Amino acid sequence: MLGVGKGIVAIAAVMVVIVVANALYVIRRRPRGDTDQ
Amino acid sequence: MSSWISAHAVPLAALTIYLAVIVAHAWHGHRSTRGISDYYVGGRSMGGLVIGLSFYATYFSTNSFIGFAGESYDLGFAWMAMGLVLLLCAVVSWHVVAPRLRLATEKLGTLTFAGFLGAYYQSSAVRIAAAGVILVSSIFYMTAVFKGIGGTMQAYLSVPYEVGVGLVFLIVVAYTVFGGFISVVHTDAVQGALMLLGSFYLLISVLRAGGGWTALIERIATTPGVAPDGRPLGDALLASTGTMPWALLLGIACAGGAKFLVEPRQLSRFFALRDDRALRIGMIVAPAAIGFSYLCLLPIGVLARGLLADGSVAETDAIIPALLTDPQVTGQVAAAVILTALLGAAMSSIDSVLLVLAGAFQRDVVEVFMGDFEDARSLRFTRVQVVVFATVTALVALRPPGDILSLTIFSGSLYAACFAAPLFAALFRWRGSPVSAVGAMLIGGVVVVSWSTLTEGVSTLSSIHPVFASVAASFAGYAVLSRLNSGTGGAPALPSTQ
Repeated sequence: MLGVGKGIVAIAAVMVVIVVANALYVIRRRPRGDTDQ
Repeated sequence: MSSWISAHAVPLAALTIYLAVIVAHAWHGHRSTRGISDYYVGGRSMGGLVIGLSFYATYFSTNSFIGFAGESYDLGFAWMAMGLVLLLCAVVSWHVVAPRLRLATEKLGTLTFAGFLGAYYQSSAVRIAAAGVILVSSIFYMTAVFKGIGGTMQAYLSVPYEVGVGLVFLIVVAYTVFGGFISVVHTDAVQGALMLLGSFYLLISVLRAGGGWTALIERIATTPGVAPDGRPLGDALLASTGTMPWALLLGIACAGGAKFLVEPRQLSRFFALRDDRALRIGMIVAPAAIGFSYLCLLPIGVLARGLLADGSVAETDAIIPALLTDPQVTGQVAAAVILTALLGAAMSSIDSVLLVLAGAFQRDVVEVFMGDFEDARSLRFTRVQVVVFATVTALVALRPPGDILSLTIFSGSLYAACFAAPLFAALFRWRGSPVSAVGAMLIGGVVVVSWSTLTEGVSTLSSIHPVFASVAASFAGYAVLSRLNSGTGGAPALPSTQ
């Protein structure tokens, strides 16, 4: 990310982390099974 | 005519294939629609992958592909903060709103957003007020989307703007009328996949045409001019603090992100989720698609500084069309893919808004005043409303007010201002009444529309984005009115999500 402010690089990195962390959280979370028929 | 066809052979071939897929899905939707519940919410039996992609595709319209992507031309890389805020809002929407709203609408048996608020607060006034907000906001929004795609088709296919708007109008109306929600969601899923490909293709095309990342950054750094704060423009475009104050930038981002949390076209997707497994798949798919697309799209405008001659574009909305028509940036195949993605982006938003708009008018206005219609009649009338509202907005789009971004931001702000308080109060079962719900909508709506006038000359207040002020005023109004009306109204028991 040569020449671009560090804050911008951090924003891009945080976006990737959020997507991955969200996916891992959902996968590992116990299913609610609330309305599964 | 034949020279026009041969000059546009590749995009026309891509569009033909794309339309064939759309027709197939419209037919599938038509065959699967057996009643009003299928037409409005897919019989509440849809999977997480298609709903997740539809959630993404519905949000991403020409305002993202053209408005948001082009905006960084003026605002620099700091505009990436928009993507972060939007991604966070999407995650919150799926984790906080989706589980509660899915169960609540199923329990209450409601098919529309306004119907849900009306049923929760046990009030026709709430239902009609919510439908009114949807009507106003949707017309602004659809106008912006029609404008975006009409301009793009004009630039790339060399057809008059009116023809571009007319073509999109005909296609969207046809499959929305025939197939309803099932058709809309399945076409959205195809369009969403195309848009992911298009976003990536666009970024790669720009980077390749500019000689790579480093070469582009070096050219952007030498951009002549001065930023509003006195820095050289090239420095400001690359810095974390761009050409717009952070408070204002975050205000715009929050107004855009609020749509994920409160906008009926987004939330109606949750009504249709089949079960908890579908919900969990959607929770992964939608944020991933949204994050990926914004990472690809938001830097495009500023990167275009390294490609387009200074002053060659009159407004930021013209950046993407300019890149699409520049043979040095996009070859015929790349441009065809991106154009198809743009068409998909526009249609996947228009179809969803149309269904919400027609449903709100038919179910929450007409049937409130005239009494419930039997299913077949309600379905027939909803289809008529789809045609009517599409015609009205397409006509408005022929002479649209404002640019794409300001129109869509206003639409999102209005939804947030009016719906945040009554919706979250309903989802979390805070104390409330019909008076507090309608009052909160009214207060939020008035504040968001008149904020700049109300705060004129008061610099500390006028620097606050209208969306923050109006949402705060709406929540405060809801709290005060619910306290004053504590003995009235009431809400049906809703299922626990714990």
